[in-house]
Amino acid sequence: MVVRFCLFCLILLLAGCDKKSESVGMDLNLALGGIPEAGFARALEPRLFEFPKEHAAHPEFRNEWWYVTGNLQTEAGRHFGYQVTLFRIALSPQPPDNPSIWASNQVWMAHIALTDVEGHQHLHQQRLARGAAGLAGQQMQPFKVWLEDWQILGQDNGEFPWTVEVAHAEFSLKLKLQPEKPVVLQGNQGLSQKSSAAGNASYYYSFTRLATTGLIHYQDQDLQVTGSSWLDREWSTSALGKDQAGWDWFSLQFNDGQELMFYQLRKTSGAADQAHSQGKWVAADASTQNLSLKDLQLKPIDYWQAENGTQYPIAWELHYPAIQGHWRIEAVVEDQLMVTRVLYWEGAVRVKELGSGKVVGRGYLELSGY
Amino acid sequence: MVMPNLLLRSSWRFFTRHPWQLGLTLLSIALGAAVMIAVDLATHSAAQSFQQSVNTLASPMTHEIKAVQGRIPDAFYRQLRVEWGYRASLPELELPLTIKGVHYRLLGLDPFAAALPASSLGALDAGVFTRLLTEADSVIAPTQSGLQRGQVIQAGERSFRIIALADLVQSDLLLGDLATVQGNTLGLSRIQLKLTAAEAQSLQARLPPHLKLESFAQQQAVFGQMTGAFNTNLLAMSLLAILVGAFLVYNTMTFSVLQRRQSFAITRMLGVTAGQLFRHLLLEACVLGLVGSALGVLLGVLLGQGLLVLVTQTISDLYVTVSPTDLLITPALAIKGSCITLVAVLLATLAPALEAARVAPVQVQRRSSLEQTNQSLSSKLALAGLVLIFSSALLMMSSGQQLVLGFTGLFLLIVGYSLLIPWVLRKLLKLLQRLNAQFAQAQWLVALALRSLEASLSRTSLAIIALTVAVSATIGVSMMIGSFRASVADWLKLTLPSDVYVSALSADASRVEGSLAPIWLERVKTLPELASLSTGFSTRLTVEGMPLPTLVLQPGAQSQRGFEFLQNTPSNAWQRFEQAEGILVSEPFAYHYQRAVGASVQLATETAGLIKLPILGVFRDYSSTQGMLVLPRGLYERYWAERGMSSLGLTLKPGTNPALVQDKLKVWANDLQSAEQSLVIRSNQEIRDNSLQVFDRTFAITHVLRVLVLIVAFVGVFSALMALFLEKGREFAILRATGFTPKQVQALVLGQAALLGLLAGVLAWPLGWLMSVLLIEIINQRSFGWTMQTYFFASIPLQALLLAVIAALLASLYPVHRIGQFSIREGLDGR
Repeated sequence: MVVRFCLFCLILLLAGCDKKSESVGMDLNLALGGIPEAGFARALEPRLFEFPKEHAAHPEFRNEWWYVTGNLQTEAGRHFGYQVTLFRIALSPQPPDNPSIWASNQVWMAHIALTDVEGHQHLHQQRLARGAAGLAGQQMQPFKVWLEDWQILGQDNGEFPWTVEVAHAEFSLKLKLQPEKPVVLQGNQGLSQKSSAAGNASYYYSFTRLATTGLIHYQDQDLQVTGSSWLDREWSTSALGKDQAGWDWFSLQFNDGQELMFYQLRKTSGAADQAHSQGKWVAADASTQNLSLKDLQLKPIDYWQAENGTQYPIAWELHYPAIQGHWRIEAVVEDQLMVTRVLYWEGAVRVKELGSGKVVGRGYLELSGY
Repeated sequence: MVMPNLLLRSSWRFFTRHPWQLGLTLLSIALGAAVMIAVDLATHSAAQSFQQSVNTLASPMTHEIKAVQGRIPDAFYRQLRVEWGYRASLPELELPLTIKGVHYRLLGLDPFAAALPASSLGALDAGVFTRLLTEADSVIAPTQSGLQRGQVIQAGERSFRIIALADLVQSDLLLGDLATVQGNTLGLSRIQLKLTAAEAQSLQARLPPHLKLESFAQQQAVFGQMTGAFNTNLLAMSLLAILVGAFLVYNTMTFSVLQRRQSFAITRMLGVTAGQLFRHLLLEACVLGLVGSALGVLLGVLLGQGLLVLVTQTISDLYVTVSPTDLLITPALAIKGSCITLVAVLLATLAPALEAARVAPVQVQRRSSLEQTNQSLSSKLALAGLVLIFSSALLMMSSGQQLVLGFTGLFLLIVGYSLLIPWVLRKLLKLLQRLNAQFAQAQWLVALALRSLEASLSRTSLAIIALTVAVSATIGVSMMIGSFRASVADWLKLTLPSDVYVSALSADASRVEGSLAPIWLERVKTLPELASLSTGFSTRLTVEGMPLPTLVLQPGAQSQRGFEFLQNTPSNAWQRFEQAEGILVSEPFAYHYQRAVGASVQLATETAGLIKLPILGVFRDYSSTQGMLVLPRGLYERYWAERGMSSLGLTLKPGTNPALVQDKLKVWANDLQSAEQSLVIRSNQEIRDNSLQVFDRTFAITHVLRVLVLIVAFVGVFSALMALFLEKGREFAILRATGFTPKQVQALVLGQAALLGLLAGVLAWPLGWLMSVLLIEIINQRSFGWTMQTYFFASIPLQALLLAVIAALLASLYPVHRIGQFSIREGLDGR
């Protein structure tokens, strides 16, 4: 999920190339993307992760996020996908020397989305706030990450269960998350190298299967839902190399209790980055297996065209020969484009067995740099 | 199309052969238009400047929350935005800055709170943006401010550094991050919001009493209401310029028709119809009007720059602080001004054009018929004039508080009086001739001058009218301002009963709205010279839904002397005020809100919401045209939490030298007052002098406009007289041929000019006096709500007379110079 970091910085920078925006947003994007790395901590070597302490913010790093996605259904079988993400961006390594309660070097951004599979709808929103004056931040007693009234709440010290609470004019979510599997340290013991330069890496851990129950308020209805969520936590100061353009990132939960995380980094030439694309297989007993492009074959097979003409590969064929896995991964709704300050496609997918066509899993797909 | 061509060429020849006449006609049209356009542009620009100061960033916001007193607590913003869900909200903190004597504002805002128009922040690069957010003292300044990149600005104990220049909306507005501007202080100046009417209503209902919600539209309306009277006064002055200009155009056109009677007769004989001639003359006026008003627009823009400075200064002195701004050149205003000018020119040409068209070709050859028509016309005009004057009186009496109708009445009076002038002139000249015949042993040269003037009245009376109107405006306005100033001086003597005042100034340094450290009170009480002490707290309370200046007074023994009570204020009013039973209101408040003693006034309080308080008395006050309230401190502290004071009034023991006490206080000020709070220590005499200076500054624009009206009139008189005397070339040649020396003819011309000026000056007296009465009794009260004493200044009519005579004499100088040089033969030939 390092990807998310890359997504963030890269797209922030790319957004600057857009047509002149009417609002100051463009400048914000530039500002948030152009922060020098000097003075920030770097992810150079594996570290000792201590839980639940690691759920707290790591402000000595430039970027960090709490990234929750999931697939839910009502008792009647109505299927929804959702995304709730809180990003922290440090503008400088040190807070400004200013006693004002408005002073902070931290900026927060949140994205929320709901995919209504039956209604073929994808709703999403974005907010920004300074990490000051109680508007946004992170605390441990009790655990809370929040941007205004969008928040992820936990127990004291960050213990589960957590609650995701977001509300917007079009929809609101109130979901309880409880891990069904232990934490997974991604990459090399949690150090996820993104490009060859030392320090172009993040610290990255996931909860790949969180039992989820709660309420979705949508179209004037309160819908009781259950399902499964995925939490990614990642922090870093720099990641992508100059020759990297974007990525295709998968988080899949199979019905038989296994999970797959894989990201394929793409070079500016369009080719996959063989050296740095990687992932992890999590078996039903929570044992894990590192993966690289040598272990998998990944091939886009269908595209959706956005209004601006960009083609997003929203259906893929994935082969994992070691376990005879052959799947088709397809978007549940074609248009799950996040039209926020940063433009990316992030949406719920279903996993079908190739041949039988049987649905064997669900997950989330993120496409950036297109 | 032969005939119109003929007419066109004839006009062209006429005006090219009389370039002076053409130039001066255009100049008088242009000046009239310029004055009106300049006033219009200046007042609109000032209003625009205010609008910008309300909605500083031209953001799509509609409302703002402010604290009733001081700043909004920081925590309230989170409550408003997060808990109540008003997410279209922008917190702001504004600080005043003075850099090398120039006032600026530093605005701190949270750029993440709302999408701001790109124009409001300029094109900042990412590095600058990050620095603004992460450095404790970085701000940006507008490119057009004259400030430099890297410059460090001192604001009290704090300093800010300009890290970049950007194209910002206003030239006096520096921008920074909210945290930077706030530093070690607390609170917000305002929270701007985008609300629908329904949202505003529900927010209003849940707002704590120490905060208030105002819509930008409402603030704009209050500004419009406050400055409306002032703008109407300026508009009236500028219309006067147009009126005087119109008289002159009428005069010029009549004159040019007279001059061309022969050529018109010839064209008529050649087959040009009356209709064609009429249309042609209107076309000619149209062209003159167009060219004149085009020049007027150019002149108006130049003039407007100057007037704008005066207008913003006056609005800042009288109403609310308006930042100096660039003149906003609105094509619509220029077009409007040109149209009004054009209509005035066409109306002024209508009569002479009709006259020229109506007269039969043979008649045109004889001028006597025209003079005769004029004679019978003058009686009819006089009658019409009387009717107008009468209706003006009726209108004045029946129009209540209507300012515009008041001015309409004033204009009716001026026009009515003008219509009387030709008849009065005729009678006056007849009378003078008779007097000359009886008492002056029939001075033949005087007789000649008088007869010659009378004979040319058709051409001179309009110039005289224009001069009369302009001079009478000078008399009326000067008398009014003089009376006003004297009344204010009297009032100032009364209203400052203490000997020495210590006042904390507000941020914009022009109002006593700051706060004094409480320790002042203790310290001042230890002064051995002190006989009595009063404290005041100047603030703005929401009264009847409007922000109104209010003085919270803890009276001292001498405080009662500071009030001159009016309008049946009962004798026990002061005792009841001291017992905190009610409030005192100023005369303008009582006038605008139609409240008398005993009525009640609604106030929005901090602790009890809306309350009503009874009026105990009405006092004379010239400090605020909106009106003001005085609250006893006991009453104020019951409903408001603020315990501050902004001024101390010290009455000293008899025989004490106030200057010594002032020096002592100034020493104290150094250690009692924080550097951020500016403070003044002044004797009552200094405050009086200062107030009168402000008074004079407020009327600077009136003086300027009055002079402009005079200039328009002068140009008109100059052109009329010069043309008249030049036209009389043949008459002068006959005089010379019959034995007059050039000196005698010159004396004749100078005498006639002086007589014209004298007549205009004398005729201006009654009109000037009437105007001053109307301005004092009606226009001033309707504009500002206050009454004043009428004073008579003998010097004003004498100056006016002198002005008229000098104007007329100056106008005759060129013809006199020509007479000295001209040849009798050429004159007789009519060349």
